[in-house]
Amino acid sequence: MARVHELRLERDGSARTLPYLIAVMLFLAALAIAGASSLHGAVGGWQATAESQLTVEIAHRADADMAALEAAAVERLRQIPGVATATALPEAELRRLVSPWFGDDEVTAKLPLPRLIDVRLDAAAGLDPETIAARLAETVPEAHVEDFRPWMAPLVRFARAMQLVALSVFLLIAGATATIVVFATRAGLASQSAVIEVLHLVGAHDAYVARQFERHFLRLTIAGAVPGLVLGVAAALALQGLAAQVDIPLVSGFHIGVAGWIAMALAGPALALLVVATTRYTVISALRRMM
Amino acid sequence: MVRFQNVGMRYANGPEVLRDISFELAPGSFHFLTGRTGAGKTSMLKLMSLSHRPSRGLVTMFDQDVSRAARADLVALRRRIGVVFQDFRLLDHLSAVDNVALPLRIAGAPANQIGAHVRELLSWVGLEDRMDARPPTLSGGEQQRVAIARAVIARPKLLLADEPTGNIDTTMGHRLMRLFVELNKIGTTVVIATHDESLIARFPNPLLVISQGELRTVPAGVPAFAEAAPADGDAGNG
Repeated sequence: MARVHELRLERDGSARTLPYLIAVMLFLAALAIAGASSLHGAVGGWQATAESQLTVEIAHRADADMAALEAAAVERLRQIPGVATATALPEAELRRLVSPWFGDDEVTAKLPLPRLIDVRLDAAAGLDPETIAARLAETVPEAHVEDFRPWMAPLVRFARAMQLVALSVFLLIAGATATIVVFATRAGLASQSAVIEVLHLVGAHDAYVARQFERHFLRLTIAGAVPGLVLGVAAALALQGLAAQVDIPLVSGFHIGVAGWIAMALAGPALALLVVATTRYTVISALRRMM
Repeated sequence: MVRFQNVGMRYANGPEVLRDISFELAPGSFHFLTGRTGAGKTSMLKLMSLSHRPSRGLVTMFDQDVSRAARADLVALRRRIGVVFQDFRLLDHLSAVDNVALPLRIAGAPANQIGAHVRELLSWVGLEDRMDARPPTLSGGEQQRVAIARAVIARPKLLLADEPTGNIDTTMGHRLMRLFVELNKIGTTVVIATHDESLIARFPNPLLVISQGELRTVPAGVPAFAEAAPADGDAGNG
């Protein structure tokens, strides 16, 4: 015998809009996950940069041999345990960097530019900028260590707050979905109360009734989840593509990681699980109030 | 099988529709439950079909106190009870076959065994040509036969029927009564609610006479209404 559905839940109008709502919820969930995931990746990148990179600046002094100071500083830096590399920025490169503001080569050639040394740290060594500055000062007192962390910290805090917002959106989506399902289930219970009474009287367990509700709402969820998730993933891909075209490292660093894509793929089943669990809880709770 | 001790029943906060009901049905017995319209027959059947709990008193069925039994424990008891409702309560969107198969399907019987069994029973009640028809397309008598088939398909230990021959011609009514009698012979306890005195006279069995919410037992062959109280109107549906 073919599967028989004693409850005619598909006739209950209150649940007809559920697929549309689920589609919207999953679209928003996909975007929230994309935002949280890309921010997570970006923050990780920023923090790694701040912790593993710093710049040493030697201010220009007309009475000093700048090349000798630079060489001494590079040499001293390389001797400090935990410094992976110390590379002086070539003077020509320095002048090229300032040329957009000062124009032709004749002017930039006469500018008293500082010497810059790019320092990469071995992250495992846990070397802090203050230690480096103290050791460097023993050899080149004029050297100044530029630490990225102070100005990176507020940015990271902001990004973390945005991640919390994304998580809150996700929780709100779950809460709203559960609420909608509770009301739709209660409407279904009310419209099918006569049939449910017959099922009970011929020996049906509450779980038998609940399973029919679960299957019905699962079908509606899948009907909404597939298009919602597809649209959400498409939107996330489009945003990632647009971010990659922006020539600003802070923005172009936005990239949805593998964990983000996995989370998006799991959002559908997770929402379906939530719907089924909410339906079951609502049905069983309501039936317990009957004899 | 069934024992009521000082049972009272009321709907919500309304007046008591059954008062101090005490009786016992032995396994394999056959009783008519009778009384005037509104006397409380349907309320009695609701208690015996485990559709409602008593407001007071003790109801014991299959040696279990169902007055205070847990909900989950009632399921197994209900599977031992077949009920023919006065308003049939068939599921309109299911065929006659699927309606009759309902108790077996719910009990988890193998699908390949359900079909043949159900079709055989429907043929027996004269519905061999209407098996795939849905209740709204069946006459009142045909719906009643489907309801009866659904009540007996799982070979219940207790069969409760509320006016089971009310919409059926006399010949078919007697045929269905013989079905109840045959079930009774193989051990099913039968309680049939009716106010059809000719039916009671044709199938003499002990009576449970309900009047103004109170019940008395009358041995087989004694006229039920000769001693009954005047018109009743205090009960729920019957």
